Amino acid sequence: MSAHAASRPRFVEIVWPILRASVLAAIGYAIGSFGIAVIRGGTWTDQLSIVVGFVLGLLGWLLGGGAFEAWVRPWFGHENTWNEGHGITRFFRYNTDHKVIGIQYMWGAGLAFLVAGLIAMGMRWELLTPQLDFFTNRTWYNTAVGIHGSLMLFSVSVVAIVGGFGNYFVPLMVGADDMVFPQVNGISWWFVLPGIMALLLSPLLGGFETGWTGYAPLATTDEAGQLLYYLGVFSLGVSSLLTGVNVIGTAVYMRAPGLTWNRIPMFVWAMIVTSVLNVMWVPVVGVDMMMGVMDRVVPTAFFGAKGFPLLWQDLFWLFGHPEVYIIMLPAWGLWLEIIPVFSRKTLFAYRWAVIGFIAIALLSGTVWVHHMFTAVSAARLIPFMTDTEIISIPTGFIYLSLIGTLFQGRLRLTTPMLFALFSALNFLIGGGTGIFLADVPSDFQLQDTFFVVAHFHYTILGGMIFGWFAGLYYWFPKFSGRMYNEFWGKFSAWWMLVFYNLTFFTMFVSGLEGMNRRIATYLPDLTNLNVFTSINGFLFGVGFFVPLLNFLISAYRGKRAPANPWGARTLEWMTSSPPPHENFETIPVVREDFYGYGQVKEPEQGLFPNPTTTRPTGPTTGDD
Amino acid sequence: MSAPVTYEKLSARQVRMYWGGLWLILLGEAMIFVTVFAVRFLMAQATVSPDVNRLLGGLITLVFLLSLVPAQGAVREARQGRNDLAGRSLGIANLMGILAFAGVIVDVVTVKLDPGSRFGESYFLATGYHALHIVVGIIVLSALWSSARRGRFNINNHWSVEGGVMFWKFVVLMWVLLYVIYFWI
Repeated sequence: MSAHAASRPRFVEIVWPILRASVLAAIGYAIGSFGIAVIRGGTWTDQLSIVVGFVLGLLGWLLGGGAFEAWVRPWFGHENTWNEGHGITRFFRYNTDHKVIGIQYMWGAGLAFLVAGLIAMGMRWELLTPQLDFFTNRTWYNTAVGIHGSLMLFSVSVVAIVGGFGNYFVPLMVGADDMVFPQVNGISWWFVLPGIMALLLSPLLGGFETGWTGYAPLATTDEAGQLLYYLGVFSLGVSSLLTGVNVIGTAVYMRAPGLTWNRIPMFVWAMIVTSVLNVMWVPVVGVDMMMGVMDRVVPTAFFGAKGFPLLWQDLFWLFGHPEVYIIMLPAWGLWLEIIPVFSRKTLFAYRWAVIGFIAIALLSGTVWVHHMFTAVSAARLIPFMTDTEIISIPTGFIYLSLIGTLFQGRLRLTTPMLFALFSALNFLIGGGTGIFLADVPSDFQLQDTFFVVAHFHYTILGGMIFGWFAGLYYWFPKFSGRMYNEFWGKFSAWWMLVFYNLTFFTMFVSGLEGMNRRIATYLPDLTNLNVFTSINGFLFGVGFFVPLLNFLISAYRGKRAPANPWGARTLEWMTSSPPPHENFETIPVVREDFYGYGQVKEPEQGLFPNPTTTRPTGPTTGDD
Repeated sequence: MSAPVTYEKLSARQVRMYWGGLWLILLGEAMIFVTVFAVRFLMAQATVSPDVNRLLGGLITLVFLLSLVPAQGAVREARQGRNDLAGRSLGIANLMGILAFAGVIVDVVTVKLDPGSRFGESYFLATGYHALHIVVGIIVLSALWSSARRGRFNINNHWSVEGGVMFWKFVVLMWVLLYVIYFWI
């Protein structure tokens, strides 16, 4: 095979595995859907035909991408004949290098983010006027809301940091040469694109009106587009599950000598806890999706008029609330990774922050009913309100660690630091407004308004996406080997902060004024607020092209990055930028904890030092 | 076909981490079955439809349990690097798995349960999802059988057989639970 590849023109060499995967996916889909149509005497757009077509299409896609040579043949005792490529070709085919897979995830999530963001622009365009005009009917508006939400949640928020940074940096940060199961890792990314495609193609089958939460019984009366929602989310869930298993295994079994449990970097801790949540709860939503599919193709009656529509909500949120932490924990890990580096201070309360991560993970499975307060019996209100408010305590530990680290630090306000601080600020607003939604009486007033929309955008977009950008700028020198442009980096941070807040803070106001979510029309007196939100939303959206161009141009023209441009101490900075295939030339040995920045050996001082003692004025470790 | 090459020696650390990873995957799978079984009690409480075929279910259970004998034998033989014997045991276990799968198909096709009824829908959800596992298990056992025939396993590397058979044990255990929960309780 490699001999054949060498004789091909370069462009063909790059794209042929993707092309082969696409062709086999199309053939698989055709065989599945037409086969069922012929057997049952129906058409190829029948729901069962679609499901079987999707499954065989997915199989064709996986085998075509390289799984046939790299998985099936070795399993049956034959030689692995797959050529993993070199240079840029690696990114367009099955590859087992965790760094390549990390970048594949980042591109996948980035493209999904771009598409879902453009859909959001369409929604904001529609909301410029009180009546329906941009979308031709309400079904298309609702479908846009659903695709935007599903893509952002299932293929960006839980993929960008977990799949992208998790794959790239967890092995590097624990001093390993790869993940535990490189082959499982290689295949996991290939479940992402079919999931994205299923969601994006759902309008061809009539779209779906339920939004990203897929609520029954509305879902049972929807067009067949709902089926693609179930299948797409299931496929994306498989990817999360496989990544979760790999991250836990890598962190547990592949740590470098001396990297004891109380020295594990914060980002790795966050990824471990996130991955436990993934392994525990993604299967639950998988069952929900299977039941949704069965209701349509068997047909069973789980969620219809004869069944329990509320069961859908329970199973969905039983996963859905831990998912919020699957989204946020890695971002918190990033804050606590970046802030000590740019404060030149020892990370404050390391153990309390880790306890916070674990406590949040434990509590996250006990709060889900706060998404369903208006639908459940009174007996379920108080316990879940209490649990929800309790979870803010361990979240406070993370802020405690963050503020303690910043306190008296020598801050370097570089782009990653700005994004990390802005992320913490936005999440604080998101968390603070969450109290009103966790509280039953105020939730009854605020539910289904734009207050809720603003709240969760503050946590996910303001918190996680800003955190993702902090990580992108922080690690860009490591994975590209080049420095980004600092001016445009800072410009993008401030631009995004300002227009983000102008857009979403206004939504709190319009929500309190009675603006309903998921409805394309509204009362005319809300027009001014909506126009203001939309214009700022467009400006916010434009702001994302600044980092995109910055990264693209810097990747080719940027200054060469040294191994450790930030003076950081974690292991990923102890190797070249970008790291070699085996990550480290020799296995690193960890001799001290990673967060001892600017440690000063001096007598302990109180919070308000005695004026007669001299405060240290500069670094004593020379690591700055 | 190239000459048979046995797998390279695995370090103790590699074996530990492979087992750790497999247990995590099984934990995720177990979460699915816990959810599915919980849904059954939520939808139909503890009632069992009189239409379930306990005899056929019992026969399937028996075949599943008996398949563990050659499966475990294959592990023992692979540990000693006896590929020919391991291959034979895997083949027998595989055939028994196929027989059990055929039994499940017959059961699902012939059972007189309404898929729209509370018990019926839970029944088809559980048996259908378990059937997917049987298919995966059969593919795994076939792959191991094929590898054993090519002489891949040796004293220092037989993890695939151990891991694959552990997955098969999980499939059998889930069926036994399913049989008790859906046919009797």
